[in-house]
Amino acid sequence: MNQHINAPELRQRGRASVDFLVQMLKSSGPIFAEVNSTIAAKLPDPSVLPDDIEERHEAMEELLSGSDAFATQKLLGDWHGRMHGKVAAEAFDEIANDLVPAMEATSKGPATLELDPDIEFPDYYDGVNFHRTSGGWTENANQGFIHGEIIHRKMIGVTFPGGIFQQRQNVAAMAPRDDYANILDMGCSSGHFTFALAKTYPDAQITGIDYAAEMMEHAWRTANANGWNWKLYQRGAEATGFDDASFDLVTSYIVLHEMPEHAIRDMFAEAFRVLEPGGDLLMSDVTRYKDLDKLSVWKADRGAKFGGEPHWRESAQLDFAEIAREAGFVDVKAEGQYPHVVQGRKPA
Amino acid sequence: MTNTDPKSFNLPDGRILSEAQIDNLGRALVTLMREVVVLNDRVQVMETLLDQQGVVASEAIDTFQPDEAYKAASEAAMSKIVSSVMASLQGADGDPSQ
Repeated sequence: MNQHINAPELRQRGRASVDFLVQMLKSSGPIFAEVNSTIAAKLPDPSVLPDDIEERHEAMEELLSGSDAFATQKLLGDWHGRMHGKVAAEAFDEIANDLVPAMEATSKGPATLELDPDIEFPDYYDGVNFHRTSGGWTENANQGFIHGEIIHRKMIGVTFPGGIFQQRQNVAAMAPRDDYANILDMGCSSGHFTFALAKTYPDAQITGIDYAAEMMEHAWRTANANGWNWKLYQRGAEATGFDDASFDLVTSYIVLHEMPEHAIRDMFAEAFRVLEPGGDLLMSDVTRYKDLDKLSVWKADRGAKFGGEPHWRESAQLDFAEIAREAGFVDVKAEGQYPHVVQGRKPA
Repeated sequence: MTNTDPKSFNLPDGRILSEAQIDNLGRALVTLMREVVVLNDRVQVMETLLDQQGVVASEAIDTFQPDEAYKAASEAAMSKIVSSVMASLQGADGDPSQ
């Protein structure tokens, strides 16, 4: 099989297994509806739920303890969490040989990837299997391809409301200027939002940073495949090492919920430092808990608790606009539920 | 002499799985569901290729890419299996209508 670095074709077992995971989600609609129906019948006023989120989990578990639909929802969620990364890795292994020419071809090009063999991961990141992806972002050398092209494109992207890539494109276009010269994408991972930035601001020099070399390798290949001169560095967003005033736009896309408060504050402060005077900030993340009712917070928090999101609860309760102002940004505005987008400007 | 009904030995009572093992049973069931889906898909691919080419080659099966008609048929078959097992998990003995 001739393969391309983006949107690969899977072999039969991998393709059918990925289709199965998608079908599990599609077939779960009636089960979710049944759970919601049970909740509505037993809990006409969700505002009576405990304010404390852990106590709310206990109350909801008790309320749904006799629900076969809820037990099924939990079982399917558990299996998906445990297995989706393994299924995707297995699907990759089946096409690894087919991909060799494409991998070799995209090892050459204008993009650069600078790794740091001495990098030390922070405690909030080290050893965490974010999204319960088996092996986390770093154990599988091809995790960027596996997550970006199989999990994102073929599992999540198939049912994502509005299109998972279109959503990134929409957010990239929200920055106030029509063009930028130097853009920094913090936590660029396998490069899906970086891709949207490159499409939106084709004349900009784009720089990306992330802790995971394995994820960024796919961003590097994608840039090479498109003839883009991205500069990618294995660095954390809390202390990037770039000179002051190096960029005119700093972005991050749905990364903040993977970080605790202290790291988020450091990241905003670092964004302020590396922006030139008058430079723009464009950060986005998941829905704020303050924008949800108690029942919706329970659903989101349960998804985080069992979906490999150890920092979601802490992050989702933060006011990013206030954090941006405290970092020094002006004209700060926050809008939207998902993604929740925060913008600001470094004073000229 | 005992008062025990000898017919009770036909279906002896006794717990097989511990509470902790029940969750693993559920996981194994979903794993089996995946394998059934994969196998079913492969058979469908083989049938499709047999119809189209009159010959089955494993490389051709491995590299088969579904067209829209195949995707629709596959989704329908997959949905039936998944819905049936999901219904069983909820005590409906495999009948999704229950």
